[in-house]
Amino acid sequence: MPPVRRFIRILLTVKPLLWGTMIAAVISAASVLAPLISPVDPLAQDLSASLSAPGGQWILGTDALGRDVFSRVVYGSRISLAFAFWVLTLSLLTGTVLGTVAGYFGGIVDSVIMRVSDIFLSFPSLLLAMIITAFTGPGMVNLVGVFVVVYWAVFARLIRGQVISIKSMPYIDAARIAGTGPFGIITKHLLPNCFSPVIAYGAMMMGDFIIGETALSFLGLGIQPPKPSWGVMLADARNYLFTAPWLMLAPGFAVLITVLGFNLLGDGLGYLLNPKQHERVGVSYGNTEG
Amino acid sequence: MQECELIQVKNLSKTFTVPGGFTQRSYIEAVKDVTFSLQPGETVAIIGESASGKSTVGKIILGLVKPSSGEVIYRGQPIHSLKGNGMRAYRKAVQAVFQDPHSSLNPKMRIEDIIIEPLRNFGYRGDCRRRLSYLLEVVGLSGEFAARFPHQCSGGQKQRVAIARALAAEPEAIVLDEPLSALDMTIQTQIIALLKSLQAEHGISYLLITHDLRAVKAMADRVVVMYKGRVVEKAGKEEFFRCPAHPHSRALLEAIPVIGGLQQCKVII
Amino acid sequence: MEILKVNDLTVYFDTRCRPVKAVDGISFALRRGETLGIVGESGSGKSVTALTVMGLAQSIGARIVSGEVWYDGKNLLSSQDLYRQVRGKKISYIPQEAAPALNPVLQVGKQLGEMLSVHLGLSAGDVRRKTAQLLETVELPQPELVARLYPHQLSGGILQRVLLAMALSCGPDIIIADEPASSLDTTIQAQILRLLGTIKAREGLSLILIAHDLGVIYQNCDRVLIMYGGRIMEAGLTSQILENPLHPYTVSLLETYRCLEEGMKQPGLTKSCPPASRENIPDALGCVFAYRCQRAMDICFLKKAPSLTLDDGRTVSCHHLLHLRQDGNPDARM
Repeated sequence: MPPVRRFIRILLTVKPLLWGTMIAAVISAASVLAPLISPVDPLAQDLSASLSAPGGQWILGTDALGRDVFSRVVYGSRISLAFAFWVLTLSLLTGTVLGTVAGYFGGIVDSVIMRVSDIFLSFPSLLLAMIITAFTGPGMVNLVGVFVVVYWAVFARLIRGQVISIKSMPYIDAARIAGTGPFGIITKHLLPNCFSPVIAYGAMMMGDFIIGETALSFLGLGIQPPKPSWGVMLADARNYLFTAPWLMLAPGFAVLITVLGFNLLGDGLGYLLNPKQHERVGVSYGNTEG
Repeated sequence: MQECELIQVKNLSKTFTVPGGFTQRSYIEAVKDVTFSLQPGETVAIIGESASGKSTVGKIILGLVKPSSGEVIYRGQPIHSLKGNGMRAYRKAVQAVFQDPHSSLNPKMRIEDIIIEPLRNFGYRGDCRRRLSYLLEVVGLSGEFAARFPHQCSGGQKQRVAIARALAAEPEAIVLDEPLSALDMTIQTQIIALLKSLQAEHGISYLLITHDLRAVKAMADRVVVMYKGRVVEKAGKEEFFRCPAHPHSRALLEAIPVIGGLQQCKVII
Repeated sequence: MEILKVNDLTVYFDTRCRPVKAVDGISFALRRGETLGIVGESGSGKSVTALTVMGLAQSIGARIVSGEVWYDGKNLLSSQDLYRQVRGKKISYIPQEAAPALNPVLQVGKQLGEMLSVHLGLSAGDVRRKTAQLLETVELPQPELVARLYPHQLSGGILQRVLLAMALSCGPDIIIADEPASSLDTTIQAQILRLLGTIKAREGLSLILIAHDLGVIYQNCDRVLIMYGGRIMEAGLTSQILENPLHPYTVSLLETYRCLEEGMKQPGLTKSCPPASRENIPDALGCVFAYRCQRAMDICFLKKAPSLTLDDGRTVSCHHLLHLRQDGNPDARM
């Protein structure tokens, strides 16, 4: 079966993956194509149309400053996705390096790295993020840094566990006998076999990052107005909860769908990347032995 | 005689520490005072039940586990003193085939990459692709296997790949750790035939670690019986099957299931 | 007397291209008090047959295309409810690997007791008495001690015995053992098989024993089915079949076995069995073994061999034999 057809078949069989991929694709497309999709500049104010209800010229209405809510939600996806992407990449990178070192070398290195990660994991993550932001100040770059500091430990632990379990596999011994050095063993044998659960978990964590960013921005500690972040929009909407509920519903719904999408994607990937599930999907090359 | 020994194992012992809570630790003597030698071109079988320490001996010889005391001597040099090029030469000289073909091949690598890996690592100068197709041919696999992943091969085919990987380094000895026990009987005979023909052709020594006496009968020249970490009997194969000295050896021999019509080859003790 | 009868059982695995015929129309019967061996290479369908008889085919993703499993006057395959009544109680199963079959966080005595209280509804005191008695039946050296230990504290051989005790707990009529202890040492395997035989004889059970080692079959089974490619090649009394094989596949299996037994002195023998690979065998119109058979004739590739019952009660599916018989040479040897 050609790879494309195989992929489509997998998608159609694993429902969470299908929905997750679709939602993630739609939202990514929206963020990339934001200038084409949104009818007006998300920052453009039209005070004469302040707090217009949805419908007509304004698909999702306008806020107190007469900015188009639809445009702002669409542009908001850019901020959320970019934020989640950078946090994921950087925390995964840090976590992979530290987790691999800890798991592979063990001993005192392992103990030190793991105790430090314990400390980070023992704080409620949002609270820790708030405390650090209080020192660093708000803003996109700072917020990414803060989240990496908070979440690297999660990935480090995950990777370390994987490395330890895979380290004892006979093929690692076999590679050592075949003359492969520690670096080759880590990059060619350990990491490729560690990543399946990490990728699935990472997709799931994207949702968490987006919620975290929204929450901090809502509290005024994250992305700063007038940038159209969903959290900022929700904060603005608080004052008009009863008079203009669309201000709250639009970004709230956007967060809901996006997080749901990434959670489904993570779920689906977890299912897909577990080779034992392949047979059920009917995509393996089949060890059909009785 | 000293010079012609390829690998000599002298008074090897290994004690594992089992961490037990905060205070007490327990120690397991996996291998105790094991001595034997392996000549070029011969097959020595280490026989024993599981937990008899036979696999640990194999791992020590392969340099995967450090012995607590005693040494492994390769061509007159203790291997723990080898460094850099010397160690690399030893790694190249002693290869291994493991019990479970499913877990001894990296599932994310294609067969070609698995076999080429030792070629690259040991600085093979010739054409890797040509060597790859030669090795596949030697172990009886067609060229189409090169691009496959391990899960696309059957157990016997995977074990052939593992043998091809071991051969890639042009070793002087191969440690065979239960190479047959995960395989069907038909496949077992094929693999034995393959290993024997390779030995005849290239003069490779085998250290066969197994509890399966049929494999021993088929392959070994000499036999070392281990029981609870110690060597309890050393003998030539014929002698061992004719009159095993240690009661444990006798128990092992009696346990082979035989077909009545083949009574003539059952050992009379 | 037949206690279990399997009729025309066909089980497929649906893979991406085409269904793989794991079991292809096999019929056999298990007589009361006998041990029936099923031999074959991996991929021959022997384990799938066992799991289907246990009513567990769906759990490994197999699809039952046709067939009947008759037990106690009922066709078990006709409803899952029937299976729920007999599985684990009247027909029990011993898997190859003991460790995955047990709960790692429960003491083995508790696990055994749980089976007793759930299936038989015994009181706590009865459970304790019965547990001890079962563990004694399987000849555990210190039953009270073993009952209080967790699976990871016990060796493979002891775990196999615990599983055997579990299989015996509800007083079954039939035990199906799928390569019991074959991953363990030869000595332990021999002990477990001997124990299984003793218990079978004492309790009057019937046993289906799956193995790939002909020696194991010879020493433990009354009758044997030789399976290849999901079909039965030859079936009959063990001694007859293994001492005087008629089907070319049985002959080649025995040659292999003998070759291994005698220390591979004649390496030429193995050439008669090229590597088996299910995926290379096209959906056979004729005999599944024809592609490996040295005696294959044209008809072998075209037409399924009918199964022929000989005077001594064995059945053989082979065109070659059929031809020889038609030529009026009933004693013809292959």
